Amino acid sequence: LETQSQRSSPLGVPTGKTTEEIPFERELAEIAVKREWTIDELESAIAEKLLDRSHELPSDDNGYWLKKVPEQLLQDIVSELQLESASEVNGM
Amino acid sequence: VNVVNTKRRELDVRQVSRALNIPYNDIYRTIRFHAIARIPVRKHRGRLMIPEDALPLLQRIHYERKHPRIPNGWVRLADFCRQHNLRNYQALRWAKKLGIARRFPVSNGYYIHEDNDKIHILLSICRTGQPPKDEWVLLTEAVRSKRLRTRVHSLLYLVEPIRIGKSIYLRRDDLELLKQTVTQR
Repeated sequence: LETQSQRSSPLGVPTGKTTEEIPFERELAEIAVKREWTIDELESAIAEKLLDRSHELPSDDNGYWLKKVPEQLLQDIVSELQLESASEVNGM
Repeated sequence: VNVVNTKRRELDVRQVSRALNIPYNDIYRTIRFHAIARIPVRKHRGRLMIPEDALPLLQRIHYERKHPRIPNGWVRLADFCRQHNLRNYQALRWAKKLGIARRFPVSNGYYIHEDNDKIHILLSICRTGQPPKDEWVLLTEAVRSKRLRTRVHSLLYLVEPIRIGKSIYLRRDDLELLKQTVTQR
């Protein structure tokens, strides 16, 4: 049986040895579903938002890069993506 | 007395969509994110209102959004990654570091400068985790002497090394130049 530590996150990204979740994982998964994005496209969208804010993209060395994005910054990006998804899906 | 009606006729997004024969979500996105600074869009009871006489301009803005003018040699990140079977994030991160990724006005997303000399470095790093071996060397492997390496290290600002994690890669020519500089001092 697959153990908790081996399981992938709902985003499809291996969570490694710890059971620590990616911040805003559920919100990000919802955005991906709404926009019909693959994980790669979702990662790319977040990365582009980081670059637009003049932030360097963290490396994947020693853990998944998304976990290295400061939480407040990631929250802002998630909100922006949610807003864009909402306007795309609902119109206004 | 003739009263001139100065009030312009306005359309909401649904009406604009019908008038221009463009899907609602598509034209909404153009209005909301691209046209708002160029045509007098106003919000009325939760709806975006667009002056009817601005429709030709809106149509042009929409066309520019869908067909952005991109200089030759630049390719959309997503297309580049699909073509070379690369992970978008990794390609974008390294392309940005190498200075061959940028956004263009009115375009969506990032573009990669495919005609650039550095494109083979990007492809190599994304595929193998290191720059092309024929041109680049790992500092710790190329300079075994710790003392010499420390001295070369202090002159790295003279060249353009590539740092991947803790590893430092140098062009073969640059390394020779640095070694010469160190020994001449």
